[in-house]
Amino acid sequence: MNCRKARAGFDGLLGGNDPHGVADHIQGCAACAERFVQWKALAQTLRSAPPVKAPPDLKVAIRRAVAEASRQGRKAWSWSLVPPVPVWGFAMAALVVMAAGGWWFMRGPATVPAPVATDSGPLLTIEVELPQASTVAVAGDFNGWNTSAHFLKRSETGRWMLSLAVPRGVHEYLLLVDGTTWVLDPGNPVRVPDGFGGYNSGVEL
Amino acid sequence: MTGEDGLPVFSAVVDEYTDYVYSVTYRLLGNAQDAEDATQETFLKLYKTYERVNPDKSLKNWICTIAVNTARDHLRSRRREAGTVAFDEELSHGAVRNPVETVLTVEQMIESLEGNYRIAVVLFYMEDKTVKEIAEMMQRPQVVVKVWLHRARRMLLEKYGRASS
Repeated sequence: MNCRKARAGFDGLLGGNDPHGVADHIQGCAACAERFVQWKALAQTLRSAPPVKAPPDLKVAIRRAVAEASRQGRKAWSWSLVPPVPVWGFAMAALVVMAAGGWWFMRGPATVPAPVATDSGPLLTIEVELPQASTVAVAGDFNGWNTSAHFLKRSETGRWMLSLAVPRGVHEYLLLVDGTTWVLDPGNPVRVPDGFGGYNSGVEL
Repeated sequence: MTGEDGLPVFSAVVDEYTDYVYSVTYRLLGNAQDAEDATQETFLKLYKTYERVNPDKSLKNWICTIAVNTARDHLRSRRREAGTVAFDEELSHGAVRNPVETVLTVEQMIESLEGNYRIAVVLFYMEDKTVKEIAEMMQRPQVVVKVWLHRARRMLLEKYGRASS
């Protein structure tokens, strides 16, 4: 074996695979032995480099970009794309939202802070029972899928609530629990395909 | 969560592979902004071709292939913008930049390699891909990948060998 072939087999030797006798060559060749020691150190440096972690908001940006591509693909919100919930489901959701909004205004001062009034417009009211959660945020097309813009407030009983003024129209949204887990709004039966193979909660206001 | 086609739902794919794609593209491109852009592009390309993914094959390797191709496009456009020679494996033979650093880092080692040598080293040594897998991803014969690795190793040894010993 010549030096060129021996050096081509350095990785095999490092991996315990030396069918051509690189180890034997190194025994008798000081130059290749030195090269092998050097390569062992370099290969170790490369192999031990830890993976690079993505910035925390990159997943949200990807979701947003793919959702946008999905919307452009289907051009419009198509009712035919809502197989799990019949049309009456949407009406029911609208009623739930309206009823919740009415309840919100009638109940007066309580443990839950006043509704968020970010803008004029109909109120999207969300109320969920998540006693173990530390934070619950709502992200949707009305806030650019921003996961830190609107947080639900927790009552003493462990219910999470938020009433948010949104532009009139059709909206998709999800809840982000503890900053890690996306869930549908359990109080809203309307589910809309999100373009990822999953669903968003949908509402028309 | 798996859909009817045997593939994971796309949101689960984004959750599972964002860090992976970012790590691969960061290593190939060497800076955070380009890696973020390439990661996002990778998932958009994957989304558009997701229905064609074969559930019997490695999804991770499929994603890695898209990520590598996307990063390679970035490297090409970067070279065009810099007004240098167009990126091409045939033109990159023997290309090792010659910065003079005294502290050896992985980034410096990778940065010193051009084109397919860089891709081969990142995939083989850092992402634990086999020569066969790299050959399939790059659509080249295995012997070509071995040549890339051999030359890259020689370049790295010539440049950094003494610093490492």
